[in-house]
Amino acid sequence: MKATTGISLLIIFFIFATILASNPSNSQEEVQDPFPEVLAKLTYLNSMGVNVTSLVDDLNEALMLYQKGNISQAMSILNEVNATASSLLSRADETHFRQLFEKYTEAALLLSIPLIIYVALPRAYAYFWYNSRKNWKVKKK
Amino acid sequence: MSLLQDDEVFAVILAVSIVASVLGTVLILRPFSSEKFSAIGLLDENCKIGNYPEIAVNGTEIKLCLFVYNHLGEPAYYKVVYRIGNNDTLPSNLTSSPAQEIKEWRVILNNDENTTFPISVPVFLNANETDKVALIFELWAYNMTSGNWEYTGLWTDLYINVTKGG
Repeated sequence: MKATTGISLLIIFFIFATILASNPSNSQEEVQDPFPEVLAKLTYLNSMGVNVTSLVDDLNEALMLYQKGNISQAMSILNEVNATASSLLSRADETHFRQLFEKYTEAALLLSIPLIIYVALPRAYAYFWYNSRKNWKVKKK
Repeated sequence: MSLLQDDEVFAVILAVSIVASVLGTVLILRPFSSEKFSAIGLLDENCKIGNYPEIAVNGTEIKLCLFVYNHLGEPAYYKVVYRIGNNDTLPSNLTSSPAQEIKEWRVILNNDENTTFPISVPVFLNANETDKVALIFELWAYNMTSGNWEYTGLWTDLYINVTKGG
């Protein structure tokens, strides 16, 4: 009975070891790459209308340093970008709604221009026409 | 009172204002709808088109430049993978080359941003290759959703004669 249990455990261990060995580097590499996580934040911020141009440039600078082997400096810039991105995340919704409000207000104002012209232009024209002639005197011919 | 008396003048002014306001509104409300794409280009060592090396000594390095452009509408994380292959191992628009990866360069670009950077690549003959090899550069992009690198289907190559040297 003990021998059977021991053999079963050995087989299970062997199966797990095989699975782990057959799937080694890809996921490990992605876990070690610190850039996608920060870039995901920047991409989200960008989709919410936040200007992330300078942050992306800084992240790219960190990546260049990382590839050159200057890990500590790269991580320092990366952490800075990450901190800024995290602080911007809390204000992303507010920025997004403000931009939407500005956009639709601008559109509404533009669309109301023909209506304003239709209603106000003849009145304004008449007002100025009569106003410019209010001191005129009628002479008998 | 020409404006008030002449309905046609008023109608023309109204028509022009309607067209202008609709056009302006469309320009404001339209989403980012231009075609999304990336681009890769291979340049010579002065980062210009042309004047590419044609011969290299086996085991040496040659200098070139790479150009990468992002027009995906959002920041993107790219890598360019370098392989040495031949006619049988060239990539396609759907699959990357089966040849072994030798080197890679990564870059993060804003939307509508490009970069050009100098590279130095080793050139050597594999056991089953003749003296003419293809230097293959594939563009990969990181997919934020799946968390994996994906081949963009974009690649460029440079055929070069490799001499044994003296």
